Amino acid sequence: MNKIKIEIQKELLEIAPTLARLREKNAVAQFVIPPHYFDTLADNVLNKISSETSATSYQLPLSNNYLKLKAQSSKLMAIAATFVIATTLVWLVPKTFNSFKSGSGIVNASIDYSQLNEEDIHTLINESKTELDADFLTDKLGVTEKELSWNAPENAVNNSEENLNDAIDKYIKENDTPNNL
Amino acid sequence: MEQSITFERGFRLLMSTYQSVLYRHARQMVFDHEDANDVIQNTFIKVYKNIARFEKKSKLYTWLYRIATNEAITFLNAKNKHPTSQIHEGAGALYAETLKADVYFEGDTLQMKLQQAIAELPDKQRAVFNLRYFEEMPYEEMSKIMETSVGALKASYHHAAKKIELFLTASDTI
Repeated sequence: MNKIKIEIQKELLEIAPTLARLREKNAVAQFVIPPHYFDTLADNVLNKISSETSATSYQLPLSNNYLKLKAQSSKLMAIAATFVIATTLVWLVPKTFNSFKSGSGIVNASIDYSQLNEEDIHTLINESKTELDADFLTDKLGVTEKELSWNAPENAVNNSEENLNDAIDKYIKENDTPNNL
Repeated sequence: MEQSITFERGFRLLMSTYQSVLYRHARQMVFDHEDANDVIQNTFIKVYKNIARFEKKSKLYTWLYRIATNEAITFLNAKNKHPTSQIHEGAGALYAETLKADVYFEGDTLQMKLQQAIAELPDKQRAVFNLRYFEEMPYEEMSKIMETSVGALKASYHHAAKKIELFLTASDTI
C-alpha cells in the first residue's frame, strides 16, 4: 500500500470508520464503460472541433491569418482615429485663435497689471502684443478704440491683429519715453 | 499542414493517456454515462483550444482535472439550475433508482448506497470527496484543481465523509 493510500485510510478511520471499512473492501463505484467507447472518443472530439472550426472560420487556435487580420484592422483603426483628431484640430484651432484675437477679454491672469511700472508695461507690450486686452490698452495706455481700429468681438475680422500691432507700434514710436504714460 | 497533423497526433496521445481517469472523474460527478460523455467531450474540446496557453505552472494532469471539474459543475448547474452551494435533497434517492436501471452500473447494494450518499452532497463538495476518496489525490494537488486552500479542502472533505458515514449507518446497510 503506498503512502497516500495509507494517509487517506488513516484519515477516514478518524472521521468516518464505516467509510474506512468500506474502502478497505475496495467498495468503489463499479461503473461500466460502454464497449469501444474510448476507441472512438478522440474521433468524436476532433469531428466536433472541425465542425465548430468550419462554422467560425478558425483554422487552428490563434492562427497566423487571424492574427494578421487583427493587426491590419488595428492599423486601420489607428489611421482613422488620427485622421479624425487631425481634422478636429484643423477645424478647432483657427476658431479658438480667432476668438482669442477678437478681444474676448483674454488677459494673462498671472500678471497683476496694477503692480506694473511704466517700464514693465513697455516690456509687456513689446513682448506680447497680441495677448493684450483692448480694455487694458485703452485704460492703462490711453489708446483709443479708434486708434486700435478695434471691432466688437462679434464683428472681429481677421486683420484685427494686424491693426492692433500697427497701433501698438505707432503708439510706442510716438510715446517712447516712460514719462509719457 | 504538417504542423496541424503533428498537433492532432499529439492531441490524440494526450487523450489516450488521460481519457479514462477524466471520464471516471466526470462520471462520479454527473453519474450518468451520457452526461459524462458530454462533459468529457467538452473538456477535451477546451483542452484542444487552450493547450497553447498552458503555462506549465502546474502539472498537466492538474490542469486537465481542473477543466474537467469545472465542466462537470457547469454542466450540473445548467442541468439542475441549482447554485452549487445548495444540497441536492432527494437527489440521492432519485439517483439510487436510476442506478438500479443503469446498464452501465454493476455495483451491489452497498455501493449503490454509497453512490446515493455521494449524490446528496453539493456539487463542489462532491468533487472534493471524489478526488480524495476515489482518485486518492493529495490535498496540495486538489488545491490547484479546485483553486481552494488546503485547509478549506480538508474541512470540506471531513464534512462530506461524516455526512456519508451518518447516511450509511442510519440506513443500517453495514
